[in-house]
Amino acid sequence: MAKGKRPKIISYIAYGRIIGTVFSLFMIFAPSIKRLGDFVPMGLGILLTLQFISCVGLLHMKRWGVHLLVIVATSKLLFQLSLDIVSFNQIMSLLFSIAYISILAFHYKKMDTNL
Amino acid sequence: MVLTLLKESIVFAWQALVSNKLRTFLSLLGITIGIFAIITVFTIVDSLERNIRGSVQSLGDNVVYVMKWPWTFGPDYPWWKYMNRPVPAYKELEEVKRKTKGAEVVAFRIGSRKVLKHLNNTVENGIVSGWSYDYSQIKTFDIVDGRYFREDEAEGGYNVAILGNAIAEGLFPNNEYPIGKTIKVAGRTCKVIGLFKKEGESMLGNSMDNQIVVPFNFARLFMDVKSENNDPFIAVKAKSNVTNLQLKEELTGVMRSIRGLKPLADDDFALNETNLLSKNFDGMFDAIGIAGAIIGGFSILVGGFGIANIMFVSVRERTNIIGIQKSLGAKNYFILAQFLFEAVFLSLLGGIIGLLLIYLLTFFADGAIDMEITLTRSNVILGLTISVLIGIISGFIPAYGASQLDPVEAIRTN
Repeated sequence: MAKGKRPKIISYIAYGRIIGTVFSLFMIFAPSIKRLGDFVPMGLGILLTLQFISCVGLLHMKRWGVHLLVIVATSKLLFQLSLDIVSFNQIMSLLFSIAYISILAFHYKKMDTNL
Repeated sequence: MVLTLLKESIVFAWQALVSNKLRTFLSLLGITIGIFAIITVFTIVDSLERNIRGSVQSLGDNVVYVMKWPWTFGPDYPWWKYMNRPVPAYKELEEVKRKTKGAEVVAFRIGSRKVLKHLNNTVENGIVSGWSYDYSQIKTFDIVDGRYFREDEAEGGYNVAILGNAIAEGLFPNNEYPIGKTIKVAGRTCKVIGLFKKEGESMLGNSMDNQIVVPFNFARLFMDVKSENNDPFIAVKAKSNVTNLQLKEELTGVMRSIRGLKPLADDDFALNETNLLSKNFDGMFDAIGIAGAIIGGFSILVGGFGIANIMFVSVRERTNIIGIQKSLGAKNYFILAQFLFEAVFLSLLGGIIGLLLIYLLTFFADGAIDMEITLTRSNVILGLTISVLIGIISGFIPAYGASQLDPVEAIRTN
């Protein structure tokens, strides 16, 4: 399955983000998000789903998991900037994403290149 | 090539769902209930919100109301400060008109519940509103038959009235034509000259259906203008180039000078705007929306777990078929797409059934209650989006697991 054994830190990151993603899905229903537009909850939902998929990739020690995580983190930032919904929580989330990506970059070479 | 493979994986997924009808039905039930719960809450909240916003808008967007009580609510409402304030008086109307440069229209309104009669038909507690002539330029309404009263009728206090739909139905049953007929308003004879368009129920209780409008100078004959019970107020509409804030600042000065308040004395009047009402309701609707989202969200989550469970079973059952497919050259993404489509189909089907149930509910609710409840486009989009996303999230782990199976190991599995 994997090129190398999964380090514990990656397991923590992946499981933590999976749980976080599942509970973040509630955000899609938030009245404040709904008020931003008909398609805003859909956009946010797609990003959360991709984040979940990237975590599955990380659990399988796949490089595409890291790639997807970077794409999702960047897209989330652009999405929030375009809607002008940047708050303290979002900045913290971005900082965490940068920290995760740095850790994942450290273990990147051990990961599998296959789908 | 890729499209052909995708098409094939869709066909495989569809066949798997059709061959296990009962299991398919039970799996999608969780999503159906979840989508039904959450979108029903949103549909009701949106409909209530639309109704209230419509009622608030009919009061006028750029209008400031001079009243005794402010339109702010909550536990810290200092009612004792407002209790001894005087109510706005009709004589203040002329002064406000004269002194307020930013006002386009200034009008007076009074209202209370009275007994209305026509022959043997009686309407108890009909809302009788006494309007000064210009109030028609502030309040939004439609007259379907007859006319609004003329300026000379308003000034002269003529006994003429315009009836709301529910009042007209109460006083003139059996489709009797009311225009030109005479009715009794609080014991006084009054001629019907117009009929308001049916508006339906209003959450704020200001629907024209339950009102009868008469000239203010006629209403003052049987209503005490100085009584708080008759809820008198002055409505001031701003000129097009004047903001509500500017108008409020000017009105504060005008009202303080009219009432002769000393510089350090508090205002003894309230200047209310419709956006104050909207703000109060925003908080309430947000709270209901969040509560609905949490309850519905958990239902959908449970539905998602159901689909994930059934997908794990499905992968287990078809492990040897997966092995055969892979040994015959099927790519990982073909196996992944096959199971992912199955999960998305299940979830989407559940969502569509949930939305159809809501549509039926709104259809029946329309006939049962006097308020328009509609399933909006944004809620349909939200319901379908959630269904698809839950399908992907709950189906991805089993589907990816299936795609990663070793063909030799998979074929050996019983």
